[in-house]
Amino acid sequence: MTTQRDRTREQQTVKTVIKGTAATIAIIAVAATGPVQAFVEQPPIAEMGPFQVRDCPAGDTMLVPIRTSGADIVTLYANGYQLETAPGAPFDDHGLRVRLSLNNDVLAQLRAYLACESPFLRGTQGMLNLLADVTEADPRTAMVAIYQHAWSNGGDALVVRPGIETPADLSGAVIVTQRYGPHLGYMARVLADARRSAEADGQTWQPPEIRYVPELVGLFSDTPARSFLEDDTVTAAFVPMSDAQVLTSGGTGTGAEGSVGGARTLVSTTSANRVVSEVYAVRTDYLDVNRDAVQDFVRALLEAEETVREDVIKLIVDWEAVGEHLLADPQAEEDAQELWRSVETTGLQGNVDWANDAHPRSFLAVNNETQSVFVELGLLSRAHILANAGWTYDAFGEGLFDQRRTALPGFDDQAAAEAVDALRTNEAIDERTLFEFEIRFQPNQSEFPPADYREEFDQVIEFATTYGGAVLSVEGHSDPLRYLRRQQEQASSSELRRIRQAARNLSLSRAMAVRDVVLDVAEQRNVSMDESQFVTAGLGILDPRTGLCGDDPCPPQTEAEWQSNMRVVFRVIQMEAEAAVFTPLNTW
Amino acid sequence: MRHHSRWRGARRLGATLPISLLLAACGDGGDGGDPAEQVRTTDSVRGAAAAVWPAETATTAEAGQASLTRTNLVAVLDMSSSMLALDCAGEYDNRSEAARAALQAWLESVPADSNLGLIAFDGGGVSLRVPLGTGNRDAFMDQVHRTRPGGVTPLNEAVALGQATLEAQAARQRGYGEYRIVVITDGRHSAGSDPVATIEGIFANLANPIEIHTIGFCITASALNQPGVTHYRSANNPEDLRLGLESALPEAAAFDITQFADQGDEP
Repeated sequence: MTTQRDRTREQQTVKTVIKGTAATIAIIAVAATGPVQAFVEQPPIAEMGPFQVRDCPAGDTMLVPIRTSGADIVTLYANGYQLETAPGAPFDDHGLRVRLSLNNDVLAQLRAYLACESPFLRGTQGMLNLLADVTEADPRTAMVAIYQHAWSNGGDALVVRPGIETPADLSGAVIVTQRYGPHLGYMARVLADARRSAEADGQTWQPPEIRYVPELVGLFSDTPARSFLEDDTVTAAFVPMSDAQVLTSGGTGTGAEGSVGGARTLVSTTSANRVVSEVYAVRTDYLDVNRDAVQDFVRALLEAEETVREDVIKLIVDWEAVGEHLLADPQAEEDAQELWRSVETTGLQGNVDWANDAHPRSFLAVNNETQSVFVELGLLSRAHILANAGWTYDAFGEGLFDQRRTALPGFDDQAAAEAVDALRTNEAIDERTLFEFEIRFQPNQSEFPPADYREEFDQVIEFATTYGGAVLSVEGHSDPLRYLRRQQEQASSSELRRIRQAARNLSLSRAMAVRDVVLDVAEQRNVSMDESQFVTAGLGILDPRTGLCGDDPCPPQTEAEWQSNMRVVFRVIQMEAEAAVFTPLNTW
Repeated sequence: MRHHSRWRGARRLGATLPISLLLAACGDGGDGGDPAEQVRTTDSVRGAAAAVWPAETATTAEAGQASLTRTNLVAVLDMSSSMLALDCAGEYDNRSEAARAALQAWLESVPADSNLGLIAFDGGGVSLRVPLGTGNRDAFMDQVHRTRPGGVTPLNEAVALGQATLEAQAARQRGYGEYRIVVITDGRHSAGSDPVATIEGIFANLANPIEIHTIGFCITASALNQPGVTHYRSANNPEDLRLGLESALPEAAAFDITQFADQGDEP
């Protein structure tokens, strides 16, 4: 089925310079009116054949696809900001001859890959998983993942209409996304978490209706953003951040100038910044014959990644070339820079983690969560175990000085604490919470048995790494019974203050104890966690589980209620609108 | 509903607490004012939550549970000329000698991991003699012994300086921890230096946890000796001083609500 476009639609053009996206950047004109789009089918890729597999010819030149993504600036730099390797470029230094070709169409990439016009695939892991039924059917074309370029970080968003307050509300929603697009893996993860959240709350999960459109960016062509804008039966859409900004008026949609009244971003890759993984894979047969050259290709990318990050700071990136080769517009320098800001390149340490199957955000882990949803949606006939190269990336790090990235704080901890306080004050914290659990304590104790919460801690670590842009709120509480007793016994104000402050201190000690255990568990699992991601607070007896009665806590009525007050609430909280909590990425 | 009605009973009993801040009757200068004046503060958890303390947030915060919940003690040592008096000095030559001995005894009760500082006023005026810290006990006693009785009694300035010192530390501890001003004095203050205003200011903020502890020499009616507001111990009883300052247990050790049981259930 093809989209029925109405070329004669009225256009009330409001030129809007839009912000960056992991996928692309554009200057758009917002359509105020127009017919509702038709949607397209998204059959499994295997049904899009026939496909022709050819052996790879011998040759000195590597044909390598690139995408319109900030990550591909690294590849461009490695080739001397040219499509053919320039003398003195990192690829040239490694004796490689590389021809780059912009190709954002995953199906076209697949055909070129199978025909070995290019032995490489360049896409998000979601896109590559989509191809697995076809690539893994022939041992020659079985994918071997060789390099993780980046994570999308702030470049993509899920926008929703009013009524969808939490991911669990996506139950039964109508969601639109690009067919075979870069958001499929992102969608898979969000829906899996939404389902888990809904079921944890005792809700019955209704699978959303997924609708597909052929294009990705902007509001004029057949894109998710246009569908969301024009079709009010569409309740959610996966869109580039640029379109999300327009649809939501940069916060909550006003209904004017291309926005949807009340629309907002539910979860973006600002919070879920370890979901959209940008990678390279190569054919098995090509790798078998050209192993050294492929390893040199990866080495050159690692070196280039480090240099590009420095060059961004030194303001010596050739943004005109980036605009020309990734955006087909050498004048689009500002948009090219936005591309870069929308990704977090992973570099050496990122590739070490990615290749480590035990890491919560490894290549394997991302494939598993993606494929389970793809199979459920009928996009894959079955799950496939995709190979990674199995290389020791540490060994590729000779000459690189960047061993420090994961130790750098990603958050402004004071701003993050203030943001969490504001959410708490505005009673908006629940709708922002992605994951939550409680730990109970004995009276006047801040120690607890970590083994009893092992499963929850494993989940926390998985969530914390997946939603690396989310804040981990660790909120300690104390029980008010003693305070209330003393108050009733007409204890002095001085004593009551003293008890309140002691309760604050105790609750903070509880929160800190939980935080420390999470960090210990992560360390035992060899997972680096950013301590600045944690916001700890001791609320004392200000917010007991048993509630407030007037101006003071209600006395617990049962022993169970009493025990429920002595707790730590651990929350993973998305921070979509609070940009100040983040320290700048890719600027170290 | 049940909780609300039970709580109304509790509020009737204790939510509004009178805080009597009697003006010092022992001063050597008269401030005027009504000794019977009372400041009434509605003490409640919600009120405490709405209050802000400390007012500032430090750019360099403490990290780690032990640092954030640390106890902070500022001793305010009165070495004014009135401390040369012989009465109320027990076995010591005068009040100043008794004060030094009292501080020495009190120091034994101070945990090693507590921050301790010293403010003193003597012939050299009022100043912070030892900044808050943990490894400073020798320096603390050294400064105690260096003081020489003399001069006026700027008791309010000294208590206010103690408050400011603690609040600066509180900003670094994000408001967590314990905060105490320990005043060693005979309670006589110079004209215009009654600490009542400072103490009143501390208690006016429901979120302010600063406690005022007084080690006194024959103080009876003073802002520094008010049951329920300040904590008073006599300097004449060194054994009592060695007992230290106990920390409050915030939570009931066992569940028991019998004392709430006789309150009405519904309005």
